[in-house]
This record gives sequence, C-alpha cells and structure tokens, in this order.
Amino acid sequence: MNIEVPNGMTRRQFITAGAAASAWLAMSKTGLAQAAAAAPPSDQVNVALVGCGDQGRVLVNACLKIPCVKFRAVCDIWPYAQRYGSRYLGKYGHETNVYADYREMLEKEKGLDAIICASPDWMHSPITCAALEAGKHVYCEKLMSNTVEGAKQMVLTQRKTGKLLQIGHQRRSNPRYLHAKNKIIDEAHLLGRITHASGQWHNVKKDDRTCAAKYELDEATLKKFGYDDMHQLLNWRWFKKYGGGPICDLGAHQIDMFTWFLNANPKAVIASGGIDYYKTHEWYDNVITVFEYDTKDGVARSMYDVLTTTGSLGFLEKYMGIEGSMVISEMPRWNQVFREKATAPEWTVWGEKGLVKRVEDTAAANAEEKKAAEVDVRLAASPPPETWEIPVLLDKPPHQPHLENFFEAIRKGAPLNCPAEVGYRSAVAVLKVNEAVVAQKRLEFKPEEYRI
Amino acid sequence: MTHRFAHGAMATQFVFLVEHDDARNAGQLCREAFHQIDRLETELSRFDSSTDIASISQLKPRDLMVLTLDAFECLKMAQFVAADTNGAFDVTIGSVFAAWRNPDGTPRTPSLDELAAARERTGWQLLMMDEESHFVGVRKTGVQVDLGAIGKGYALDCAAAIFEEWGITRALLSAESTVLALDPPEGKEGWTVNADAPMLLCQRAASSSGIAVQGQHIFDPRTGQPVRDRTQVWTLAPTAAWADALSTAFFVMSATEIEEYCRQHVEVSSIIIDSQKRYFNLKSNLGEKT
Ligand SMILES: NC(=O)c1ccc[n+]([C@@H]2O[C@H](COP(=O)([O-])OP(=O)(O)OC[C@H]3O[C@@H](n4cnc5c(N)ncnc54)[C@H](O)[C@@H]3O)[C@@H](O)[C@H]2O)c1
Repeated sequence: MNIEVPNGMTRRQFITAGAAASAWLAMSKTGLAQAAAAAPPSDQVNVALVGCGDQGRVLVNACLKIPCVKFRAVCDIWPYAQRYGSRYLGKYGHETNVYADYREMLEKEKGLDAIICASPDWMHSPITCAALEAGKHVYCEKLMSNTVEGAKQMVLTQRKTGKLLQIGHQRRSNPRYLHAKNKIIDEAHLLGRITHASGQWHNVKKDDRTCAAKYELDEATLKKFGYDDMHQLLNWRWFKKYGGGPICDLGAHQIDMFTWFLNANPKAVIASGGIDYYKTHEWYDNVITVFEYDTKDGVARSMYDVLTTTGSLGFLEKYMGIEGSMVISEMPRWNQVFREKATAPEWTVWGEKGLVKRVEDTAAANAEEKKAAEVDVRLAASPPPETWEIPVLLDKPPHQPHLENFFEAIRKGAPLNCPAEVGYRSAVAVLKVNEAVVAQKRLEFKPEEYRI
Repeated sequence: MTHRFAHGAMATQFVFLVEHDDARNAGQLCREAFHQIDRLETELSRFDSSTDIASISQLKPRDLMVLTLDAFECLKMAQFVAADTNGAFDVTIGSVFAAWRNPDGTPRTPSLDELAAARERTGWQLLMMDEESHFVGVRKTGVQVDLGAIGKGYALDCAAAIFEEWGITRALLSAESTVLALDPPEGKEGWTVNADAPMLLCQRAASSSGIAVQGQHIFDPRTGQPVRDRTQVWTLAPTAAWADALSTAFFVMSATEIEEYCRQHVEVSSIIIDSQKRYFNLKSNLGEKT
C-alpha cells in the first residue's frame, strides 16, 4: 500500500521558500533596518577584485565585514565567475563594473584605491605589477608567484611605486598565531630552544573540477588569456604553467609559518614527491620535505608533508623545544601547548598572566594518582607533559584580520603583516621544494637568494 | 540509468540518485554540488568560532554583524518557520542543547536554574535581521544559533539549484532524513521514497523526524524539555529547507496544531505514523488508514 502524497505546490512552482521568508521579513518590523542605515559611514577604500573563484569569494565575504571597503569592480576572464561576483556584491549594495581583462579595468576604473588579486598563481605577478604601476595598493594571494622571477618583479615594482603590497599569508594576522609567536615563544620563551618543527596539510581525495557545459568558455577566449582548455582553467593548480602544485598551494602557508616562528629562512631542503595517484595532473599529488635552519639558538629542522589523497588529521603545525611544544592550526581544535615537566620551570605564573591556559586533564590526573601508588618506572623516567592551551580564539573569518591589516595600512599607515619582502622569502623557500624533488638530493639556499 | 553518488558532510551522508545517460557527466555534476555543500558546511557551522553562526553568540545588543549570503538565507528561512509555527521550531535553541549535554557531548540533566538561564537566551524573537544590509543583531547577549535542524535541507535546495543549472533534473537528493525529489525517472510519476510505506515524490521535499532517527533528542523550544516517545512525522513541502525545519516543528506540535498549519499552507502537508503503523494524512483529511 502506498502513502498517497497530497497535491499542493511543487518545488518549481514555488522555487524558493526564501521568497516567502523575504516577504515575511520585510513585513516584520525588527527595527534593525534603521540601525543598519544609521551605521556610521567611514572613509572608504575603493576596491576591485581580480579573480572571483573560490578564494575570491572567501575574500569578498571577509571584506563585507570591514566597513571601509567599497567594491567598485570585479574582473574575471570567466563570465560565469564575473557574474557571480557582481551579483553577490550587488546584494550587499556594492555596484560593480565587470571586466574580463585586468588591463582594461585598470585603464577605465580611475577611482580605485586598491586591488585584491585572487587569480591563479601564474597571473599574480603580471596583475600585481600592473596594478602597482597604475598607482593601486595590492592585496595579492599567496603563493606570491609560481616563479622566483615573478615574485622578484613584484618586490621591485612595489619599491619603485611605493604602493602597499600585502601577500595573503593570512596566519600572520591571526590573533592566535600572533599570541603564540609574540607572547608564548618570543616573550616568555616557553618552548625553550626550538629544535624542530613539523607540519602537514592533508586533503581528502578529490576529483577534478568541471562546470556545466553551457558555462564553458570558448576556445578563442581561453587561448587569449593563456589557458589550453577549460579543464586547465578550472584545475590550474595541478598544471606547471599556472601553479606550483600542492606544496605551493597548501604548503606555502605552513612553510611560511616555520620561517616566521623559527625566525630564520631555510638554509637547505630535501624532498620527495610524485604523481602517485591522480592520472590527469602534472604536479606531484604528495610531497614530503625536510628543511634545515640556522636559528639564533642553533640548528633547527622541520618536517613537512602535503598529501592530497587522505584527509587524515587535516592541517596543523607543531613546534618542539627543549622545554615545551606547541600544536597550532587555523583549525580551532589544534591548540595545545605542552610543558616538558622534566626540563621546564613551572608555568603557573604564565597562566596567571594569561599567556597560556591550563587544560585540566583527568586522564593525566588519574595516571598521577596511580603512579604515586605503584611507582611506575616508565612514568618516572618520562613524566607525561602537562597540557595547556593558547587562550586566544579567532572569532572572525580567517582572512578578515589580514585584510583589516591591509586596509589599516592604507588608511592609517599601519605596518603590513606580510609585505612584499616577507612574501618573497617564503616563495623562494617553497619553490625550491619542487626543485629538490627533481634533483633527488639536498639543495642549499645561498643567503643572497633571499635578498633583492 | 540511475547513478548513485554519496558524500559525507555536515555530519551526515548526502546521497544523490541521478538518472542520466552519461554517468561521467552526472558524477561531475555531483562533485560540484558536493563542493558547494562543503562550503556551506563551513559557512553554517556553529563549531568553528570563526564562522558567522558561531559569532552570533558573541554579539551584544546594538552590535550589528554582516552575514554571508548563505548564512543569511538559511537563518532567514529558519526565522520564517519559527514565526510561522509560534516558536515550535527555533534555531536559537543552542543554549538549551548545551544545558542538556556535558562538554564531551554525553547527555545530562540540567538543574532548574541552569535550564532557566538557557531559556533566557532562547527565542527566535531575540534575533533581528535586515535583508537590505544582511545584518543580524540580537536583543540579548549570548544567543546560540544551531542550524542543525535546517542546514541539511538548505544544502539540498542549493544542490538542486546546481542541478537545474546543469540541466540534469531527473534526480533524488537526500541527506539523512530529508529527501528532495526533482523530476522523476523517465516514464515514472515520481521517485519512490520509503516512509514505512512507500510514497511517490516529484518536485517536492519530504522530511521525517521521530524517535526512529538515531535516538537523537528533539527539544521543545517552548519548554526547554526533550520530547520523548512521539510517533513519527513526515512533512512534505516544496523545498527541502522548509520540510527539514517543519519536520522538527511538527514533532513537537500537537496533531491539531499541525493540522491547522497544513490548512493555512496549501503547499505543506504532513503524515503522522503512530506506533501501530497507522498513518494519518493531515492534508487531505483522509483520516485514519490501515
Ligand atoms: N589564503 C588562502 O587560504 C587561500 C585559499 C585558497 C586559494 N588561495 C589562492 O587564491 C588564488 C585563487 O585560488 P582559487 O582556489 O580561488 O582558484 P579558482 O580556480 O577557484 O579561482 C580562480 C579564478 O580566477 C579567474 N582567472 C583566471 N585567470 C585570470 C586572469 N588572467 N584574470 C582574471 N581572472 C582570472 C578564474 O576564471 C577563476 O574564476 C590562488 O592564488 C590560490 O593560491 C588562497
């Protein structure tokens, strides 16, 4: 016996219940509209977005929370992305002109103050340099460029024009990372001498991107903008012409963090990687690396792996020192600071100062009791480290603080958290990994490689 | 040919059945839909302190916060259903959920004071929204929003929009206890969905809630108490978000209240299945059927 489904409007007749909800919301006088309209206007920064793909949209959402930002234009070679961006912004009251070619946009949009560049990596340098030359400030996504030469041009153009250039290593503005670096490591020196760092970015297996047939770009347009076909435009990160593969896409973030936290550029690298799984890519789907550093406290080494066929444990970094270790990530759950009981002084005072927060570990407490009773020699030889956490939470979208820093720099002259030179040094370190995979041996960095 | 594609997100399994000649093309479409669902999972999550939904709990009266479009649309739909069911559905119930759980997620029973404190910060009228600016505001500090009872439905509606875009529309999209039928398989009148007894769905969403679903607790936002031992309710509505939200609302509403709601909304109907597996179709007034 079947359950009889009663008639009524179908989904198509009633395409979105959202329409009913909107009508309801318009009717219900919540009083917020007035408050919203009265929100104080602040001095505006006129902005254009170049590259409105996944990350462009993430940056738009973060920018919409920064009151001074006014979008004036959206540039993307793909009409589908262009339309998405301008419609989205339109809903938030930002009227934007759309362009396919950034050069045309720079020529026509005279009132722009800044450009946000979220194009594929190979276009970062040409777009950024052209925008700087046109007198605009630029926020450009990481990796700064897929070539050292491209990144160098960006630094030189920035210097020549005197405009601001912020590279999108957003962790450098994340309050938790800032607290970990400035307070826990530099001020209190809680980890002691850091001898090792490790990190990983693991992404679950994913099939290639595609789009609905009707949105595919024609061959002439693709050629004009330098793409062989639609597959390569949508999956640019896997092809040598457009990007540097996962180590540049994902590894860039954390290799940059190692440099920052260890306060040293890598002096050598070895790496292994390959196209072991995917059949349609040019870049390695996994890379494992070891870097060496000369820090002010002595030698340090880091281990890093980027895997794109398993999501195991996600992405995180770890710093290990004589007196303690720290696990940190943009993912909130990775937030642990361990005190090595055998070598480190008490941290109570740092807890009181709010530098770290004690995590009550019931399992460890039980183990302590048991130890007292039975005298476990293994426990006595290596007491379990005591667990603390970093008491600072990011309560904004991850890219918002970094964008805020950029706009503060434009409006009030605040120092940039990731200026061109810093982005450049990271690019140099990251790009060498792919070379090391090919070379199959240890490659050294000459100090002058980091200088321009 | 019907192809099946599955993807884990939002703490559940999304399963899409697609009738299409080209399996590869159908797979690509589902891959893109799942990609957007992953994005929604991040935008609608309450677990990550950096999301809009989690940040609402930090707002103080007079603060204004811009929401992403999807967070806004989903929350707006939730508020609409809340207003429409006199608060039987209410996504501001996060504090009540929290009161009934230990930090590790295991169940506990709150004291009367704890419950009263949680209920203070619960109530859909504590949230204010403005469509022009996409601002949200609160009337009290500490309102915890949990979109768990509408987010999966909302994600299915977004997936359906992508299916329309691709022009592949013979599909049945499901997430746990919510299903959204698009066009039926060739030559059929609908997709057969098993609701104890089978029903045929076409261009319509159905959602069930009940004790059968993983023993999960549903709380009555009007009392702050868990609702136990009710019959199973199926809700049919034109969109998955609406059906999803209503299935929770109907679980805590009385049969008379449900009947009244269905009378007022031509596009909504509900089927109640009682412990003897008798079902009552509250729309067409079919009464009891065995
Ligand atoms: N900071 C982060 O956390 C983060 C995260 C993801 C991506 N990214 C970076 O953002 C950038 C974009 O990545 P994505 O994932 O959004 O890629 P995507 O493929 O989703 O988007 C790229 C967009 O750029 C457009 N485009 C291509 N060439 C262009 C050109 N010459 N001019 C204008 N537009 C052009 C494409 O049509 C597409 O819409 C990359 O540099 C990537 O490394 C950063």
